[in-house]
Amino acid sequence: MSLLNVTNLRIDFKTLEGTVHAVQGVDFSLHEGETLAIVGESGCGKSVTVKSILKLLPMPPAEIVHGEILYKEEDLLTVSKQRLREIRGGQISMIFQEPMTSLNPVFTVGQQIAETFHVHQQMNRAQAMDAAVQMLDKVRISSPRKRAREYPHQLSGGMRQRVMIAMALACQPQILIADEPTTALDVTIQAQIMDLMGRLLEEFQTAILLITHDLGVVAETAQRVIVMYAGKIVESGDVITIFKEPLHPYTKGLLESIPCLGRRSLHGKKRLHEIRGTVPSLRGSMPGCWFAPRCEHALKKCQEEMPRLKSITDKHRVRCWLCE
Amino acid sequence: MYAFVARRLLLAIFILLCLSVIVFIAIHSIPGDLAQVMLGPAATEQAVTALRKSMGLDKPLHEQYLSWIVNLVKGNMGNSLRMGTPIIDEIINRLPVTLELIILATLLSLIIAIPIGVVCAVKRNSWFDHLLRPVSILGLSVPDFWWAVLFIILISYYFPHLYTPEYVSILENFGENMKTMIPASVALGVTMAAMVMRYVRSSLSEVLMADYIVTARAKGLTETVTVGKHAMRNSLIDVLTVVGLQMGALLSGAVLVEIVFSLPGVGRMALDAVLQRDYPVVQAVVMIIAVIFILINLLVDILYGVLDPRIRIS
Repeated sequence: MSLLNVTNLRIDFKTLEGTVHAVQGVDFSLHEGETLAIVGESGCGKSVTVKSILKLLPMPPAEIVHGEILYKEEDLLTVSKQRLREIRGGQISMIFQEPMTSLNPVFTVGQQIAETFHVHQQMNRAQAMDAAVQMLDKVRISSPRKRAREYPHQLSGGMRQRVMIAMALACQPQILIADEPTTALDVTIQAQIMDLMGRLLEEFQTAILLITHDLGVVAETAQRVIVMYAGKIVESGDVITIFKEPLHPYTKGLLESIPCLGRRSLHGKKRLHEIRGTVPSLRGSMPGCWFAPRCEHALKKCQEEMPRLKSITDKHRVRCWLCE
Repeated sequence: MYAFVARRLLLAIFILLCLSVIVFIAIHSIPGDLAQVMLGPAATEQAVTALRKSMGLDKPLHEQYLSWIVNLVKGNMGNSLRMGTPIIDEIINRLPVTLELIILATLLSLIIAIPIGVVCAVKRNSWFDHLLRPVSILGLSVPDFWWAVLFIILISYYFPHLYTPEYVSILENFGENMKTMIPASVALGVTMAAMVMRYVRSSLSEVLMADYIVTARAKGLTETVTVGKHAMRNSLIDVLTVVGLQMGALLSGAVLVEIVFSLPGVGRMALDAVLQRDYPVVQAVVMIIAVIFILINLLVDILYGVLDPRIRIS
């Protein structure tokens, strides 16, 4: 059952220096209870894509030029404001990268979680606060009733992210969008948070759209993965296939770049592998594949024509002339 | 919270003490002998000496200061040299007028400035915003006394039924009092309104770009709640700073407005005392104004603690 269906999404940003094509025709779907990871370098459009699902992009510079985002049967890009508000936090929730700045510093964490209950489940203040304390307990924060009266600046980074998770999962949404939830946390806390999220998502049967640049996290938690580059999907499929048999040179490059301590990398070299070159500017356009300048296997055709996203199997798609 | 207030209170008292020393030294640093200056060049040597003795000017400076400050704390501000009456009585009569003027000016400017600032911030670069910004520059650049003169002319000429030139106490007749005080307060508050409006606009614009505002929207909150509750609480902290500072400017502007509108306030009393070289009155009034300013700042400090938990719980 497809919960979310994104079709041909195109998003531009109008800036003083020209139009930036942040997202250039992205298609994917998310099914009930599954974990779909989106990976890619900074600036490839993954955050912009997911933020547009709940229409959280600042709309003067950003413009959704084309596309359809179907949540069950509703197109989120055309629903009424009222309906969008019901969906935000109630059916589809989002957590962000920086827990310190994502929580309002002048309200207690209890108040901020209780607000969700108040808005979506029409609870009164006392009920909402009780429910908030219960959620804090669920995210394994000790002395939840005492903590609920504390302010974000009194909590550590890991605890703040737990509060964000509590706030997002409060109304048991169908989908959780997690935009690099552990990037700002140190490694041991990362593991705890991913663990916690995994447990809760299983309990609530919530599907998750996980943005990350950490392939380790993808391997451990996701069933399917989408690899994005310069605003486009270059490869997508189930995690095992992609990790075992990556087809796109960029995906291969990403996997090879994972540092392995004490062991030789895939090619038997000790030196850290890198993908030479840098991400292209998303302003303006270029003929051909945008990864071609950095690709070791680039053909002449790669400079001339942009390859289309082709299905190798029904679960594996690639955008590369080498795979045609 | 109580520890926070207590600390601020102690600091305020300390500052007041320092201020009293500065005020005292300032008055007594006026060039020339005080008694001589007061009696003028035609006075006899005897008269000057007699006055000096009666004013206690022959005693050492620190003794003079101590006797002044001790009396001040007891509520005795000395007597006016011009009229011989206790200063404190005059002040008790006049202070409420000035306080009413300042409070009313602040309230009116906030009532006008905050909503306008919010609209400008939420609808940045709309026609409304583009219109109000130069208007606010006008409010900032034109001096208080010009507004005061302009207002009194406009109102007494075109809306005489809305203005009462004679001051009547608010306790005696609310309506008549308002007819006198509101035009004066508006004249006084224009500059403050312009400044507050600009601050609200810039502070709120910045707050609206914060991550926690995205979170608020992502939770499904209405735009009204997002701006009115989540954004404003943060923005008001910055605005409070400006209001506190501007109230100091109001105190000095009050003198001019009191003169133009003929209000029997403390500001006018100060000016008259300075012109008449009635130094005990000058000393007393300067201290009163200083006390008011420090109390305002104390209030602002406490309000910071109320609004911002990061300051309250450090």
